[in-house]
Amino acid sequence: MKKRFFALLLVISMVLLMFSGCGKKDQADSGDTKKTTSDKSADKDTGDKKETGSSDTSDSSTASKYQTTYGSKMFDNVKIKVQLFDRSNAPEGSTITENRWTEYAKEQMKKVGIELEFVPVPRWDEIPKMQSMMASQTAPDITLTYTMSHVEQYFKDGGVWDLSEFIDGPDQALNMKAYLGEDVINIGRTSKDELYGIVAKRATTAKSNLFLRKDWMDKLNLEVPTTPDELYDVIYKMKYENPDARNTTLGAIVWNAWNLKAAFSELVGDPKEVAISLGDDAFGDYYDPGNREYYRFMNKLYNAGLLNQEYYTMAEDDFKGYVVTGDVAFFEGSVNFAVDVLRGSLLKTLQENVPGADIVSIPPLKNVNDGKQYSAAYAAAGIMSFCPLTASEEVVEACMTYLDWMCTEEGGFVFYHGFEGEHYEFDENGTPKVLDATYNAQDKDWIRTDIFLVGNQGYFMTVDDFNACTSLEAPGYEQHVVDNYENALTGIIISDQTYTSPSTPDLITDIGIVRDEYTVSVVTCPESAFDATYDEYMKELEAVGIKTIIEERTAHFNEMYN
Amino acid sequence: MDKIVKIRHRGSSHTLKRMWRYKWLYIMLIPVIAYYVVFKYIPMYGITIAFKDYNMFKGVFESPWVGTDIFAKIFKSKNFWLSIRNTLTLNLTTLAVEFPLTIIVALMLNEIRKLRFKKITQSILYLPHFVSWVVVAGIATNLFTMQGGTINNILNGFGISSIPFLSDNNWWVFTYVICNVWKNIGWGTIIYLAALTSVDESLYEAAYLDGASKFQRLVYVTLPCIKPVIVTMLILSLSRMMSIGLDAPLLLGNKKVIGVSEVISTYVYRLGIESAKYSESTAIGLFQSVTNIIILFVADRFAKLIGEDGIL
Amino acid sequence: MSVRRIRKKKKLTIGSVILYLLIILLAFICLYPFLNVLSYSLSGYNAVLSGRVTFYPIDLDFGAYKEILARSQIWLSMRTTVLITLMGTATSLFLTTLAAYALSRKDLPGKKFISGMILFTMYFSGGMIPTFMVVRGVGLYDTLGALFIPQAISVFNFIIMRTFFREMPESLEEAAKIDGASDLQVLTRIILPLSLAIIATMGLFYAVGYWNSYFDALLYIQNPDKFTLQLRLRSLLFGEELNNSAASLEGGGTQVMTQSLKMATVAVSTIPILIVYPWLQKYFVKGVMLGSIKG
Repeated sequence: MKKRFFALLLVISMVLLMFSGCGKKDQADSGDTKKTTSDKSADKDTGDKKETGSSDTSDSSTASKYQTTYGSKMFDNVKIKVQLFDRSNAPEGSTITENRWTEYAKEQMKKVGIELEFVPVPRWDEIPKMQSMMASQTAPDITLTYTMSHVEQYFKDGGVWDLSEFIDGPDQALNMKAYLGEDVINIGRTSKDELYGIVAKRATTAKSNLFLRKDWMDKLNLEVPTTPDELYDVIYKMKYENPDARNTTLGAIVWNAWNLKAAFSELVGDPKEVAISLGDDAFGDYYDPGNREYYRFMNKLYNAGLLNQEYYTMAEDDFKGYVVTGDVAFFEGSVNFAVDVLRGSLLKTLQENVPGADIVSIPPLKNVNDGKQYSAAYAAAGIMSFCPLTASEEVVEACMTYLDWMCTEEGGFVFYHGFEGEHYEFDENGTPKVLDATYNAQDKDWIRTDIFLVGNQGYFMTVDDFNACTSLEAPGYEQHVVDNYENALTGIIISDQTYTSPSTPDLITDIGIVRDEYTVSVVTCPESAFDATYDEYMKELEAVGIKTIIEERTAHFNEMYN
Repeated sequence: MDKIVKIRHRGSSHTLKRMWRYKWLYIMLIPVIAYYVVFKYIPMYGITIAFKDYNMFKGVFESPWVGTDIFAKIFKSKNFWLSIRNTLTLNLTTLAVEFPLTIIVALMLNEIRKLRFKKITQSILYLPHFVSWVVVAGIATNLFTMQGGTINNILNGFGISSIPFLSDNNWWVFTYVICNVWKNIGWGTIIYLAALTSVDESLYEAAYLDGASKFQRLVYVTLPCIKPVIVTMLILSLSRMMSIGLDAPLLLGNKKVIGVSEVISTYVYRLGIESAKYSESTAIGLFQSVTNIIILFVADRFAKLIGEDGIL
Repeated sequence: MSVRRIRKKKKLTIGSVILYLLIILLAFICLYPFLNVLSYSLSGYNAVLSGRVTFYPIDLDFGAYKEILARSQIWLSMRTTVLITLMGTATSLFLTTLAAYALSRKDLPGKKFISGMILFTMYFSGGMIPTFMVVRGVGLYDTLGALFIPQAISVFNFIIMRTFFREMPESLEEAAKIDGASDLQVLTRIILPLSLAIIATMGLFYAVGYWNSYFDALLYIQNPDKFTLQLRLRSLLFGEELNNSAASLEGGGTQVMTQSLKMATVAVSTIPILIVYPWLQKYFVKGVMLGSIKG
């Protein structure tokens, strides 16, 4: 029958189409591969406050092949596609791709002959989207992700540009180098110095804080605890001798244990040893004997009824609930957890429920082994931008120029803070002070974190700038914020590091299961059974191959530190 | 009823002639087959990912073959087998409770005469199906936790000590099953209710006239009439024993009960967190499929043995 | 010819009282969490955070709904979802009914093979990326079609529908064929009118599936105007529990994703589809058919 025959024909032709489309696609050959000679006299920048980096000398033999400092090259209408996270929060009258900020960026890029197009991607579920785009070669020229390990894998598999040719030259990406600094840029390098992505600079690396109910401390006439034992006493008293006669008090919630663990660590004095023990909780538990004592401390807390009996079932909303109802005496959480507006202004809410209550952060506890204070800090990196191989070299050049522009004040500062007089004014210290928070939220803040790719939490040259500015964003609690950030970085800083050893991806799944199971059972078991259970934990870790990873890490860091 | 005599064509081009007789049926199937070929069969080459060291930039065809290496790696993992055991335990327990209960509730709903009441309660019973597991897990925690949980508070009021619904392995399975039953039972009755409306009224009346009690009508008229649907649903459920959704175990589970809550879907999820492990997840998926299909064959064969149609 | 109904005496037996009570209990258990969701979505910030809300709103506050419904993108995405639900359900019902009916006819040559081919796909699939390539290859990328054509037939629904068609008395078909009807006419004139219950059921199943579609939209849609409702709502939420919280520490966004907002999202995404069911209920009425065979 005709129908069937045509259907068959259709199917066969589709099959053939399919097979021709599969397999490796040649590096996209965009029409604009014609390279223009750099027109050095045409410096398009107007009135920069910052230096944009010197234009190249006219001697072309010293100029790098790719010109990526903004203003040093006039492109020939090169089109680039940049990913933009979409949080579905565009205000009325704008869309994620059409609003004053995207227009502003496009305008600035047009000045150097780059045509900018934004590709929106839903913020959550960014990873499956990225994977399907990469696999089908439809990813934008600048693709973004928060998970660097994926990009490193893509690079190893041969799907991502090595950007070192575009950045490392003495006249390349000058603004980027000035703003991000070599250290941050190096985070995106492989061990062979290939650069697979540009990471954003963190405005601050402050990570974690210990928080206590100050009002109870005052009422019980307690001193700020400086060691774990003192902390234990304080928590104990706050629960069992509660000054407000509450019987629903929860002693402690340890949402993250970064700083607490640092107080027990035995390796913490030696940066190399610390680096080996980082990367996953299991590594530290196995490699650092001090962690055992941390868990012993937790076990003691648990058995004294100072932790929620089923603390491992707690969701973040429950945690916040405990805080605002005034039920928790002590907790460790992210640096600004108690007053952060974005986390719900918990302290403010608490004070509505319990007038007179107050939560403050305390400086890190003294390490039980050497008596010093240590603070855990984030690695200096945030979101990563990278270029899939489907982008042509001129496109990549233009992309790097875009990122370079973003490191200037016209770029990043404007994206983050807005325009002077409209969104902010400078206070006496030169810190930008928000004029009208609601207006800013509507007009600028909804997109600023996503469009500004080279900084996490904003464009700030120094950490102090950040602290000062952020404190102004939590009105009424400015001092709390300042104290929080100060406490979180007190003492010797232990930074995260981003190295993943080669065997880790294969072994980490099973290690994770062991870790999850035992980090709970060592805390919830009776005190007498603690050591035996912890030994079991160690044995189980060995059974799933943790030694391999530790050996690899040791080798890597031995090399790095010598 | 008059008997109808079928006239059969016999001849050498017997099959083709038969096919011509059914031409309309084949025409009906054309778009269906086209759909399956294009969207299901053409992409099937992706299954080979389980036997390759997949590199997404080389594509499936250029990625190197590694034979059964991936499977060997997976099968070596103790946790993989743990996840299988847990998947089967949770699925079988849930099935054992949920399946009969769904039918019973459907039968109960069927007995309700007041139409208004029936419509309203049916709509309410479907609500849990639409509530996402995130919400259910949150509510379950509030209800079942030992410290301050509603259920335990009530139990304590009666002098019973708190039960570790969420922190004891066995009790956790109980809680898991309860949450699943609660979420699925209302929606699950839809099929049976549709089946029940197709039962011939006159059969009931004939039975009534013969003096059958309500219960006897149930057993001798209703159940046999919906038996094909029940058997179909049972076979379908059994043939999914090796698969399990991600949301429920992930959200209801916690670190204390990993020994029972770690299932295949959560294991695959863990695998994919650091970097996309296409080969591994495809291999595990293949393992699940093969097991499920074997169960399907067995269940189907069994159904045919007891005189039902089965699925195949 | 109508069948005389024997009126059963309406008396309230103990049995029926117990029955009604049980059903009411069940209904309450099912209602509670939904009430919980609604209450959270309508309660004030402090009340929700402090855990005071149970099944009625405290400090009534429509803020969360205003937040969601004030955005034109939400309405745009709802329009998209409604469109694909309608088109998708129609397509799915069309294809599934054809497949289920044709393959329910006992004597069809090749029936086992074709059914097997369909069943096979319930277990074996090429995976996310190869399917993506096909969808792109046939030109469906970034079109609404990508959200319902590749998913048109659910094997589960197909099997159930086929079971129903199998159970239809053969005499119906035979009677029609003697009168000269072709298979197509049998299907459209005889079988379909008598299968309203199952068609309504399958329609409902498909509709709910399309309504909840989000992963397909994530993969296949680039133009944000074509995002589905669930995709939009999901990206509005501050990371569900499934998300890797390391990424959530970037301190981004300017909204406080409160529980009220989360719950309002749940409500907005489910209430529209809940309205569909009562409308379909009339097809679930008993005793529609079969008098026609007697005599």
